[in-house]
Amino acid sequence: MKKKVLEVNDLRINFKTYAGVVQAVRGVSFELYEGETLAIVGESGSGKSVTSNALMKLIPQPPGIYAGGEINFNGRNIIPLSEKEMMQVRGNDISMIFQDPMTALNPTMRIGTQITEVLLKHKKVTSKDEAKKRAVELLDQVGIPFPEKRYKSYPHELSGGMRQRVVIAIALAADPKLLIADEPTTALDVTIQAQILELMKELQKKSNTSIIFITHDLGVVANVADRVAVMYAGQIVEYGTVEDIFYNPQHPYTWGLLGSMPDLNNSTDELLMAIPGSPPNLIDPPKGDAFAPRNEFAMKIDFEMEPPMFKVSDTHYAKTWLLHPDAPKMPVPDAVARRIKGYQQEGM
Amino acid sequence: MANKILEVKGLKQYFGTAKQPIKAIDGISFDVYEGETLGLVGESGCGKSTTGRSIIRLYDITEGQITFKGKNISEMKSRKELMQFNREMQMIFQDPYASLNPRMTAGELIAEGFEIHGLYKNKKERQARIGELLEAVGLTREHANRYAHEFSGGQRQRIGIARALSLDPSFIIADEPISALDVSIQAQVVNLLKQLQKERGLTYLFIAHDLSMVKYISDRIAVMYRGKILELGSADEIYNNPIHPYTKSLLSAVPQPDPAYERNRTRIPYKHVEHDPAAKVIEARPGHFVFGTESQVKEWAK
Repeated sequence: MKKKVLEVNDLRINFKTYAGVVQAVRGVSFELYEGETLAIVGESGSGKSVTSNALMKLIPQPPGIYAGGEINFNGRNIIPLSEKEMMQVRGNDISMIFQDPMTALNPTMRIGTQITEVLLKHKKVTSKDEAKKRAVELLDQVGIPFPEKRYKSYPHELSGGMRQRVVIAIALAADPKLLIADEPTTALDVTIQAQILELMKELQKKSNTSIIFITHDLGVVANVADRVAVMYAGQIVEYGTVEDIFYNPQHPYTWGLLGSMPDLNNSTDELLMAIPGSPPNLIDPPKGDAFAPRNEFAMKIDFEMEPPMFKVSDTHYAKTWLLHPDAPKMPVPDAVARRIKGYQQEGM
Repeated sequence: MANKILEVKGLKQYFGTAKQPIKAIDGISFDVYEGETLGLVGESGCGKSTTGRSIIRLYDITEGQITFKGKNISEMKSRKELMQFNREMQMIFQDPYASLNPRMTAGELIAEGFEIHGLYKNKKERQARIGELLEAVGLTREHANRYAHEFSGGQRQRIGIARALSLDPSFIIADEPISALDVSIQAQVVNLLKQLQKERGLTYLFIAHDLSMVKYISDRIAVMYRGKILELGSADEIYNNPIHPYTKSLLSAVPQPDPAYERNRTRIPYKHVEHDPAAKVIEARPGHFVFGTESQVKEWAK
């Protein structure tokens, strides 16, 4: 049995705004094991970034409020920790890669200094010389050519892909057990994205780091994830292994996400399966299933009562009334079924 | 064969100084036929947006010739000609947050075009047209009095589309119209673009970096790299039989929503090589053009 690194229980995060209290995260629970990658998928406003920022306790308070739940990292709940104690955790145990490498790096500091800063701060090295040696090693490890020369470069002298490699080098400097990557490749071109994903997987293999990968791109999820959590309106609506989610999706929202991507194997004459409408306002979340107003499969109960997490298999859970034994059997929409069939044929 | 609506010949667009020009577009030629969608793909900085902006006269071109409906667009000088051109060709922009004036209501934004062109007789007719356009893009008449910030990203892009449609154009340049939107909303907008094309017989130049969406919406695809079109052909040809190594590399990098496929996918890296001076556009297969020398193309096509 693999070691459990992180356990999140019923996490709730609210934000106080002039318009009212926004319930950004509404009872999220998941766990993460050593060396695995969990992808959190969802649209903007689904709470995926708030969840990941909460794991580092980066939610500004106020306006943010940790309204409930626990974040157990290596068996210790980090929510009650003081800012001083958190500074030991951040960078050291948990580190983060952000979406935009230009804003994540300090434009006035040489990239080498930005790496040695982490090493010295977390006492991973004893002297400045040693820090420099280690920083050059790290730059080399993330695939930056001429690391000694680049050590002295400023961020603006590097391309987007190279900058993101520097951000990764900084994140890995203190050898964290958990790496949170919040849309790390969204700002990059596809070829650079492919390189960065390969790099992250390779580094993960070497150091057995656990990764939480936040993205809205299902192609990227299929590439990096071992397990997937699909988020909608501040909740996890489906949770399972990457095969569960892509080959046996249960939640209508997951169907919609899969169906709204063009299928390259099938004809282009038909329209995409768009999800109508837009996500709900989380100041006053809808009663019942938050997805019901956009769900063509919604039943009466969806508008009245929130569905619990139903168990599909030991690894697979989904939060939809369709899985209730009394619910009518809803077939997976054609477009999605055809796509899954297409995958299986290819695989044979 | 459909009529050519747009003909681009030897287009060059240089920025910077004459001594040190930045060659954003370095001699490209292509045609767009009436009623089709031509997808223009490439990575950031390849010149795809510059191409769109040159065609709609946002830049004065450095060299080459752009012919739209039989007229050279650089030679249009009279106000009448330019007004006509602006009515025929419209653009949809990438960022629906930045491209709409926050101090105008949706109705004012949509009406701006036909106010300039004097295309309505009285207030009643103006209101009616705004209503029609809002409904055409899937919004309601009541939305006319709201400001841009009251709409979601997908709805804003619909206003952007309604604005582009307001002058009843025949040619629309869509510059990354969906890349700022969420996945589920992207599908809505793409469906809308397809439906409008069918209803109104529009021609699209669809500029994007998302190859799977481009494949889905386009009839033909042009692949751009460093200011040059390296490959041009039908969407299926480009996807199933790519010839240029850059196209192969680009396609191999696109992640598919299929874990088993992803596990076995191998990326084909592309090493940048300077173009051979003898390189030219060669028709490797019927309707499938590749930029390279005769011997290179033969080698690549193997």
